[in-house]
Formats: sequence, C-alpha cells, structure tokens
Amino acid sequence: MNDRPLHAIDPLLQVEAVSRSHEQGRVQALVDVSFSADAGQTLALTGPSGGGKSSLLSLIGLLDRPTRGRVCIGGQDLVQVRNAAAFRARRIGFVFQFHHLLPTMTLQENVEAAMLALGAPRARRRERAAALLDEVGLSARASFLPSQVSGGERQRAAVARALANEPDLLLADEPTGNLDSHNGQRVVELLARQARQRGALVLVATHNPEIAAALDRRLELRDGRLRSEGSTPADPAGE
Amino acid sequence: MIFWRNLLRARVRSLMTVLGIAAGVGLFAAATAITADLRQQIASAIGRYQFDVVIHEKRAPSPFSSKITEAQMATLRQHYGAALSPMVMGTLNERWSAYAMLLGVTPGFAQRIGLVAGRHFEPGQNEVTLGEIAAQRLGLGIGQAVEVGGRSLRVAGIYRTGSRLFDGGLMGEIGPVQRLYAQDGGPLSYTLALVSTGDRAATARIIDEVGRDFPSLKAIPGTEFAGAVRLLRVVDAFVGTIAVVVLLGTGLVVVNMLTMALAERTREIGILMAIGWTPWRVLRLLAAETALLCGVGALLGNGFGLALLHGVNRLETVGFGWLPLHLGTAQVLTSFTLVFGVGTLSLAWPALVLWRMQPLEALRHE
Repeated sequence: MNDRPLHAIDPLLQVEAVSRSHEQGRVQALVDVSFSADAGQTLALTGPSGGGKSSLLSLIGLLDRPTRGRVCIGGQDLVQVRNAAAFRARRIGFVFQFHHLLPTMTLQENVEAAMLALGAPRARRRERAAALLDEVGLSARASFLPSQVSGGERQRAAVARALANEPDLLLADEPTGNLDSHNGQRVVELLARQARQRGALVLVATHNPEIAAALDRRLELRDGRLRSEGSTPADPAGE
Repeated sequence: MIFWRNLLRARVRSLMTVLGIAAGVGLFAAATAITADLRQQIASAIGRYQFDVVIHEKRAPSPFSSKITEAQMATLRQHYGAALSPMVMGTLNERWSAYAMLLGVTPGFAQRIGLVAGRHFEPGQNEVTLGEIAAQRLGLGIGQAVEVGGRSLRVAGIYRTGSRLFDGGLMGEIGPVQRLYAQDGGPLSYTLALVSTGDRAATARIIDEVGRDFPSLKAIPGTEFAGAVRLLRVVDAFVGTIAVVVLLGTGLVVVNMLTMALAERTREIGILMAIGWTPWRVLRLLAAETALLCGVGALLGNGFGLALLHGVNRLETVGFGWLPLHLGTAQVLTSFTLVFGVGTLSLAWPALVLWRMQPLEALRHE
C-alpha cells in the first residue's frame, strides 16, 4: 500500500453511482449516490434516520462493499484494496455515536489501540496518545476507564483515537447525538480543526442542523438517494 | 494488562475455568508423580544392591506375584551359588497397615542393607528389621515388638534402602516369611531370585540359560525390572486415561470460555476491527487471556496435585511411605505443556469465527 498522504490528490474522495442493497435487493440502503470531496473539507451528511447516512459512511470506511458503483480514496478504488484492516488503520478514522471505546482499556490505551493496529512502537504510541489526549483536553483523564469519565469526555477520547494514525479521512457517525450542545460543539470543533490543520477530509453524519451549518458542505440523503448537495450558508461559495 | 481486566470482567467464569483446569491438572500431576516415583524407587532399589538379573515366574501377571518353587530355587542355587539371592516379597493386611510390605531375605542379603539403628535380624530369634519410614510412622524403636501375621516379632534394627516403598515395610528371615505367605499350609515358594553377575556378558548368558533350562521361569536384566511390574503398567494406563480426560476437560472449559467471550464481546471486536485490528491481532488478545487462565490453572493444579498426594498419604487404608510427597520437574513441565497445548488448540474455534467476522455486522451486534 502507498503510505504517502493523499492530501495532494483531488478529489480525495470520489463516490460514483454507488448503490447498496440488502436482502437480495428488497431493501435499498443507497441508490445511485455520487459526489466527490477534497482534502481539508468538512461535509455534513444529513437526512432522516434510515436515509442511508450510516450505510454511506460504512462504504467509505471500508466496513462494507457497494452492490454497484465505486468508492475511490486518493484515486484508489476501494474494491481493489487487499488489506482492508491496514487501509482502515492508516487512512480512516472513525468516530461513532456511542463513542465505542473499549471498556477494559483506559482512555490512553484506547487511543494506543488504534496505533497498535499499525504496529507502532510502544514509546511512540504512548507519546502520541498522550499528546492527542492533551489536545482534546483529557490529559488528566488518560488513565481512567471509559466508565469513569463523562459522555462528552468519552466522545473526545473517541476523537483522539480516530486521529491517532493521522488519517486522511475522518468519518463521524452522529458523534454528537449523545452529547449536550456544549460538548457536541466541542467535538465538532475538534474535527473541523483537523480538517484545517492537517488537510483531512471530515464527513459527519448528523441530525443536528447547527452541526451541519458549522461544516463546509452539506449532503442530504433521503431513502438512500442524494437529495441535495450544497455549501452551508456559512460558506460564501455556496450562497 | 488489558487481558487481565477482560478476565476480571467475567470473574466467576474465569474462576470456574481456572478451577476446571486445576482439577484435571492436579489429578494428572498426582498420578504421574506416583507412577514415575514407583518406577524410580524399584529401579533404584534393584540398582543400588547391584542385582544384574531378576528371575521370576514366567506366567505371573507381575514379578511381585511370581512363585518360584523350592525345587526350582534349589536348582538355581546349584547353578549360580553365592551370586544368587532368593527373596520373598508381599503385603499383609495388619492392624497397623492395610498394606504392610514384608520382605523375606537371607541373612547374607540382609547384610547388604544399610542400618540406621540396631542390628540385622538373627535367624531363629523371632526378629525383624524395620524400615525407617515404618519405624517413624509406627513410633517403634529397637527392642519393641511389632505384630506380623498374628505373631509378635522383636525389632532388632532399623534399615534404610533409600526407596520409600521398601523403607515403609519390614524385613525378616526368609523361611518364616515364606510360611506366612503360604496359604492354608500350601507349598512354600519364593517370589524372586536375584543374581549379581558383575558384567554384561554374564548377565546375557544367565538370561539365556534360564530361558532354556527353566521353561516356567523368566530372567530379565535388573534394569528392566521396573518396566516388567504390571502394577506400573496399569498405573501408566490409568495416567494415560487421566491425561486424555485432562486434555478433553481443559479443551472444553477453555473453548467454552472463549465462545462466551466472543459472544459477549462481538461488538468490541467489531470496534477493534473498524480501527484496523486484523483478526490475527484480536486473536492474540484472546490468546493472552487463554494463556493467563491456563498458566494459573496449571499452577493451581500442581499445587492441588501436591495437596492430593499429602492428603492420600495420610490415609491409613493406602499404607504408608510409598507415595511421593513431591512433584518432579518433568511432571510439572508436562502438565504445563499439556495445558498450554490444549489452550492453543482451543483457539482454533475463535480463530475461525474471527476470520469470518465482518466488522460491520460485529459493530451492529446487540
């Protein structure tokens, strides 16, 4: 696999006529979805529950495969990726709705777990995890188990874990769904900062219009179809 | 220590797994210790007194139950003279021990046995010499009486062979001992004839001669005697059976533990896979948990086996002295190897499940 950053490759993400069906075609999760996005952008995936947001994130995150169409990251068709686990570890960071931290690992170990997937040396893991937890304001909680910290802190730790391997794509599925507005805002700011500072592409599936408004672009999915695409009002180019 | 925390999360299951392994290992360790120790005791006793050839009844199920007639012994004496030592050996059910080992030997043979106190028995004086362990357990000393076969015999001395099997018994004049073992006044017999040759060629020659001239007798090298004892072969078979049970039992408890862990932690495994862990890396985490359980189980099991030996040794019904009170390095290593081997094999099932697991499905697992 090519290890170089994909920031320079435009578009970083290309979704071409992607469909995903289940139960032998009876359930259409995604129908003919196409869009592309560049490095450094932040995208909001909006729409009602069951509209296809999570399905789309799963396809982009190599957790699932499309029935038709193709998804390319950095010009590479994901169907061609041989080692999906290594690709996920290196290129993609996930933030889930319910943080999905490992309950028997401390926050520090949870962040390190992502780096363990790439075989990072222990000293490097420790140093990087500590720096990331500091960045998300959790250095004092590094040795705590997820059950010992608040929901907002768990989600920030999940963001730190997603950033551990400096991914090109950050995929967040309802990252603020379980948080109050203050903590929700903080998590989104963290993600947006990554896009700005590191040139990562950030995709956030959300129901929250305020969160969507804070991001560069908004894609609305309904019944598995892309209904509208455009810049958020905050982006002058989209007005 | 993530795997340690994972195990503590299901404390009862982890504890039951460890105890399950420990029970099997304990039984295995105790049984192997007994058979290995018995074999070593018999071999060392034969070797210590430099008997190169052991002659016994060919059809006897075990050399200990062999019967050599007076006539056969007389002929053997003619052939081998002073190099030959007849011996009578067996156990009696006495009030002081259910398995009192009584050896009948010639005065000449007795002289080879080292004493720790007193002197050897005098023929015709109703005397015996007592093994060191028997003397300790019975609290008997020189000049005191011990009841054997309804007769009260005086303890003339206390011997030590270095073999607990024999040091837990007593030794007397061969003639009276023969009469004790003769049932209902039947013909007197001997158990074994031991021959000292001093060299291999003579040993081979005597074995050939006995095979040729005594169709109902068999001569074997002293070094092979322990292997010819049927009791040991029976115990070996018993230990083999226990080993299989231990393997199956350990395999079952470990597979059960792993299956439960996989079922309960499917979503967590999905998370790990989503962040890039390969099935192999997840398996390594499960392997660490399995290794810890197996290690603790094997350790506890060896302790349990040791306690079992000490406990059984206290039972009067099994006699005394012959059970080992320690576990050999070989037994401990074997038990650990077996348990870790089975633990490793038990990982085959979770490996299969992990390789088939789809991260997305695992993440959605309720």
